[in-house]
Formats: sequence, C-alpha cells, structure tokens
Amino acid sequence: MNNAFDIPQRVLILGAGSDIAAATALALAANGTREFVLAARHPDALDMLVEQLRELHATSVERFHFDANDHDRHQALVDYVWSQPGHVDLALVAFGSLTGETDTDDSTRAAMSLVTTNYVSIVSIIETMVPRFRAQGTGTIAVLSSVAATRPRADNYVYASSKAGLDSYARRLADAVAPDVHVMVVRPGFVTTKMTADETPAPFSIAPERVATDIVEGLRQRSDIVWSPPIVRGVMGGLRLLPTPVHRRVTKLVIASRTSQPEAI
Amino acid sequence: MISLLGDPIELATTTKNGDRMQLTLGHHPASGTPAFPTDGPHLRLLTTPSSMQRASGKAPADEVRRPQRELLSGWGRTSPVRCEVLRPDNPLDVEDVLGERTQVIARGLGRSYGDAAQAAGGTVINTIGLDGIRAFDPTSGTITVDAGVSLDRLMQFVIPRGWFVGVTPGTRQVTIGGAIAADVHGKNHHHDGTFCEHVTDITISTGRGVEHLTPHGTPDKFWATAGGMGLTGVITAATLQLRPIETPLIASRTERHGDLSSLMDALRVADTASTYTVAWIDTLSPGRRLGRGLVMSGEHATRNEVESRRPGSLDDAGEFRSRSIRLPDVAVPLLSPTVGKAFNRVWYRINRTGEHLESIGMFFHPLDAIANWNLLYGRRGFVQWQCAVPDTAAWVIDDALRQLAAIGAGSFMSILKRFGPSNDGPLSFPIGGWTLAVDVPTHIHRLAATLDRLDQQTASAGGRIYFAKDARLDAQLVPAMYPRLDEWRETRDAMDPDRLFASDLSRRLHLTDTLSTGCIR
Repeated sequence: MNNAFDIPQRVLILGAGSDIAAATALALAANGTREFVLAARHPDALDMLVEQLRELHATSVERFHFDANDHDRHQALVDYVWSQPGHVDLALVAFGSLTGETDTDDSTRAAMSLVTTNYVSIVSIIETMVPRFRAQGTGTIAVLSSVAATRPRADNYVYASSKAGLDSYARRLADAVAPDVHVMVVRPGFVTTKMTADETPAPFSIAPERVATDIVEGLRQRSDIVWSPPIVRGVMGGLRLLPTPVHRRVTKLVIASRTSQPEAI
Repeated sequence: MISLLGDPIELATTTKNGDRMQLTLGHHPASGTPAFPTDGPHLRLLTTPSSMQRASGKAPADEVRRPQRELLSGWGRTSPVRCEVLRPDNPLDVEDVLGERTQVIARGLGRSYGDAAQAAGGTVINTIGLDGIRAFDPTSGTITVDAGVSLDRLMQFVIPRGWFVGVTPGTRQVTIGGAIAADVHGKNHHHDGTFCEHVTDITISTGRGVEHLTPHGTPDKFWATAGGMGLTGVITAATLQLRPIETPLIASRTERHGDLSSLMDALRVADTASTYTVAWIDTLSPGRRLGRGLVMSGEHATRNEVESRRPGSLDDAGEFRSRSIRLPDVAVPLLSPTVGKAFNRVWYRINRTGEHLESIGMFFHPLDAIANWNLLYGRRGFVQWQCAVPDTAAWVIDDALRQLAAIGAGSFMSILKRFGPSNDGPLSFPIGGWTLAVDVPTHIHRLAATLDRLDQQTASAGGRIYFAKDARLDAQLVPAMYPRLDEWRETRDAMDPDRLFASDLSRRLHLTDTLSTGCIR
C-alpha cells in the first residue's frame, strides 16, 4: 500500500542493475519503502544494493534473474511476483539499452536489438503486468523514457525513436488505466551512468541520484510526466520550436563541439 | 387502558425521516429481532430498517450482490484506491455475500482518517444500509441497533427519551460498527473507558456463520473485535448500555492556560473533578506560548441546574437537532499556516472562560458544524497524528509539539487529553496517560520524516499510534506499540482462518501476517 505520503510499500524493479534503478531504490527505502523485488540480468551483481537497502531498514529484498528479451518468461515472472503477499505498489521499468548489441558490425542487427530491448520487451512486460494492476485497483507503473523521446538527436536516432515509441505507448497506457492505476513517464536528460560512460556529458547532465529524487517527487505529485532535471522540459520545448533545418544545424554543432573537446584525464 | 399481560398491542406511525416507528406493548413472543436477547413482557420501540421497506417483488440478494467500483479513501483523503463496494441493507444478507468474496473489509461513514476502511482490489461492505434500531428498553437503557446506524441518528433517538451514549467521540458521524471496530474513546475516557466498555453484545458475520459476542460469554472474541479494525468480521448489530441524562445540555467550564505545563497540570486536576475533560492546544504560537490552550470540562446538566440558570429553557430543548453546513465539493486549501496561526490566536482568546450551559453538539462535536471540513486541507489531504503515551513519558507530548512547530506543521484542532487505564482489547488504543491528536496537511515539507521520528520516540516511551487515524506508520514499530498483537492474531485467525478479512491498513501494517524480516536473500 502507498502511505499517506504516496510512498509505495512494495516495489518491483525491472532492470535493477541500472544506476538509475539503484538510486531510486535507495531513495524509496530512505522514504519508507520496506519491500523490494529486484529483477536484473545479473542478480549476483546486486550485493551492494541489497546491503544498502538493508541498512535503510528494508524488511524484504528479493532478487532474481530477468532477461528482458526472453519474452516467453515474462508471464511466469509476473505470476511469481503477484503470488507473494501484498500488492505491487510500484513497478519501475528501468531496463534499456543505448546501443543495442555491440558484438556485431551489422548495424541493422544492432538497431533491431536496441528497438527490441527498449520497446518490444518493455511493452511485453508491461502488458503482462497491466491485468494485475487493474485487478488490485491501485499502483504505479513508472517507465524510464528519455528527453530524446521528444526531439530525436541525429547521432543516436535509433535509440531516440525507440524511446519515442515507448514514451508514446506509456502515455496512451496511462489514459487507458487511469485513474485506478497510475502510469508515470520519466524523461531524464543526460545522466552520467554506466550506460553513458563512453559518452561526453551533454548540457544539464545529472547524476542518477537526481533522477531518483525527481521520481520520488513525481510519485508524491502523482505526475504523468517527470522531467529530470525539470529544466530540460524548457530546453526541449525550445528545441521543438526550431524549424527542422535549423534544428539539424544546431544539433550538429553541439555534437561537433562535444566531440572536439579534449578527453578528461 | 392497556393490559401488559395480554396479546401484544402495536401502535405504528411514520416519522419525519421515513422510519416506521412501532411501539409494542405486552408479550412479544414471535420476535423478528433475534439480536434482542430478552423474552417475556417488555416494552420496545422499533424503527423498521430500510430492508423491510424495500419494494416487494425485488429479490434482495441480486441487488446486494451487484458490486459498484468506487474510488475510496479515508477522511484524510490520502491514498485513494478502487474497490468493489457492496451495500447490503439487511444484516442477514451479509453472511451470504461473504461466501463469494476475498479481501473483505466493512466500511461505515468513512471517518477513519487513513486506509482502515478500504481494500484495494478487494471488497468493501458498506454498512450504512444496515440502519435499523431494533430494540430499546427505556427502563434499563439498553438499545440494540444495526451496525450502520450513526451516532447522530442514535442520539436523535435516545436523547429525547432521557438517555445518552456511554461514550461519544468528537464526531457523531460514525457508525456503531465503526465505533466498535476502532474502540473509540471520548472526553470521559478517564472516567468511563472506551465505547466498547458500554457494549454488551456484538453480532458479527465472519463468513463462517453469524456469532453473538459478549464480554463475559466470549471475552477473547469480543475483545479481539473491539478495536480489531474490522478484521475479525463484519459487525452487523450491537447492543449498547446507555447512560441516563436529565437534560440534553452540558454544564461546561472553560479555563485558559498560558503554557503547556500549566495546561497539563490543569487537565490532571480537571480529571479528578469532571466526567468530561479535554484540552485544545495552540500549536502555532512560538516559544513559551507553544502549547498554551483551553481546558474544557463538563457534566450532564441536571434539571435543577438548568431550571435555576435558565428557567423555562428545557421546554423546547427536548428535541435533539443536528445542524451542519456543507461546503462546495472542492478541495480548496484554506487552512494554510498563516490562516492557522491567526485562527489559533483568535480561538485562544475568543472562547469565554468560566461556566456555561452548552448543547451536546457544541460541547462534544464542534467540528460537525461543517459536514465536510476535511476538504479545507486541500487536494493532497491531511494526516492526523494521534499518539498515546504513559504518564512517565509526558515529555513526548512536549517534544512532539516542538518538532511539529519547527517544521511549521501547526494544526487547527490539536487536542490533548488524559486517558484512564486500558481495557482488555489487545488492539484497543487507549493506555493510561496522555494522548495528543494533531491534524497536519501532507504537503508540509519534512513532515514524513518528522512524524517517523515522533513514532520512534512514542514507541520507545511505551506509547502507541491510533490505527483509526493512521495512514503512514512504519509497520516495524507495530509489535512494540501493541505488545499483545500476537495474542490478537491468534484469536483473529481462529475467527477467520481463511484470512477473508483484510484492509489496506492491515496490509500496510502487516497486522494479520507477521512482518517477515528474515527473507532478505
């Protein structure tokens, strides 16, 4: 159950290995969430997170293996999670990929795998969960989208389009399941994480902890969309006003200036 | 001339609000009210429950079985959830309905502040259709009513007949079932105990049959249900012992005290002298004035008192009326800290000190004057934090006021009271000592962390938090606050082995299942 401050009691995190997921779990625990179900590709790598959650007085932390692209197993996972006592008050869908498969030179295959992870797999797991949320009559599905969903960048258009699809899907889902079930779309700007370690930080880049804080505040406000940091909403709004040719030039300039920067030592 | 020994004589009439009133004199062998335990010659007054007024030809079961999906929250308007709501209008239908449901909780007028009377994804049995006054014995002052009868309605019935309820909380807008489930208390706790200490019989539907619980015949089950937050079954009716009153007025006395310690001293003194005592505290004045307030005490006025002080005023006082205004159904946050500060200052000054004659409504239920005052805290709702601490830990009260003032979480109606000794209910809230109740809007910055800290202090001082008010307590503190929790669980499980009953409160606080702490893996 959510408490009076809209802090969920029991939380399911899909893609718990991500930095944003871990930071959000810790922020929730610090605010009073007590039960965590962590699903990750490498559950063994979560030792530190589990230990930190325990220090923050989590009473129950379960973890298990979850391969987002193994769609046939989604139903079994959802059945298991909902067979345990208590509702799932929040499902945080935090997995995603920036590049798709990297062990291939075939850019088509990489693009397809990226779209599969970032869109198809998320639709699969959420669609499997929706009947459960409807039946319990309460709960939040938080989906990690991206600012890139609103105005795709030329240098990573496949990623941006997968997030745009996901973003649109989540927004329409929110309409369909409201008001019993709350769907929250989280649109972070550039976050310095494992996933973006190879990239040069963009303007207004933030730490995962900041996204976590914004997510918790979004739960409190029952927001439909969480921009993190909030200023990127204005920035993206401004960019959207630019005519396409100007936008292309601007983004190319920005990309050029970033790549020409000397590497930090 | 009516013979009390012959066949029963019935006089029937219909009252203003549509109830059929029936006065039966004489022997009444074929009683249609199994809840009333007496046999033989007696006098009884009955109002016909709405189930008997139902248009003939309609099958009750079908109507009752069709659930409505409703978004429900408590009086504090936090954490709304969708539930399937059933509205039985006959106690006998309740048992039928239970057979087909899971995760069931009863709900009356929804005056629990938090999530006690809702069950997300489950079934809520709204009892307000169970509205019959089944039997009244004007000589002994016992009354049997259905669980959905409100205290307001009950008072309108009994006060003109010279009786009053044993205990009334700060609002009349609660049902008898709800008053039992939360084992509510009033201004006379130090004198007369809780509501359930004036209950002689509870009729309860558990899904495995209808049971009658009495404090002497079935003490375990009775006291598991009293304060059991509806988790032992659906209370469908109860018999109450009333208290005789000579007039419908209260002889009250108001004193003003400039700081917390003199206020607390005055409450201690007032408790030895008066049946009803309570203090209102100013939580928004800084420094030494924090915790100043008004001590109000009272007794039921005798006929002589009223005649001598207000001759002739009893002639039209026989009828008990309840008036209230209803605000437009929009949550406008009028109760901002600035307004609150001004209100506290004015309220502290405006109340006349000295002795008065007051109506029961004015003395006991001042907030009922605005039917939906909960909207005044705004869209995001509010929480009421109510703790009880033993006498040895009175410092918790002082500290709580300071910590709440520090974050600007002052309240309009902050109430301080002394409790008498606790009763046999394992989950019954009152324990001997002090109780403080503070309303705070949820949007106050740092409120959650501050209340968490106050809970910790309360628990370590041997105190507790009131479930009927709670919407945010940490489940881990519950066993320390309610040391007899396991004992209650045992009785509860015996009454409801299938775990049919559950509420958002019980799930959030792990009341019916032990909070697992060992399954970190």
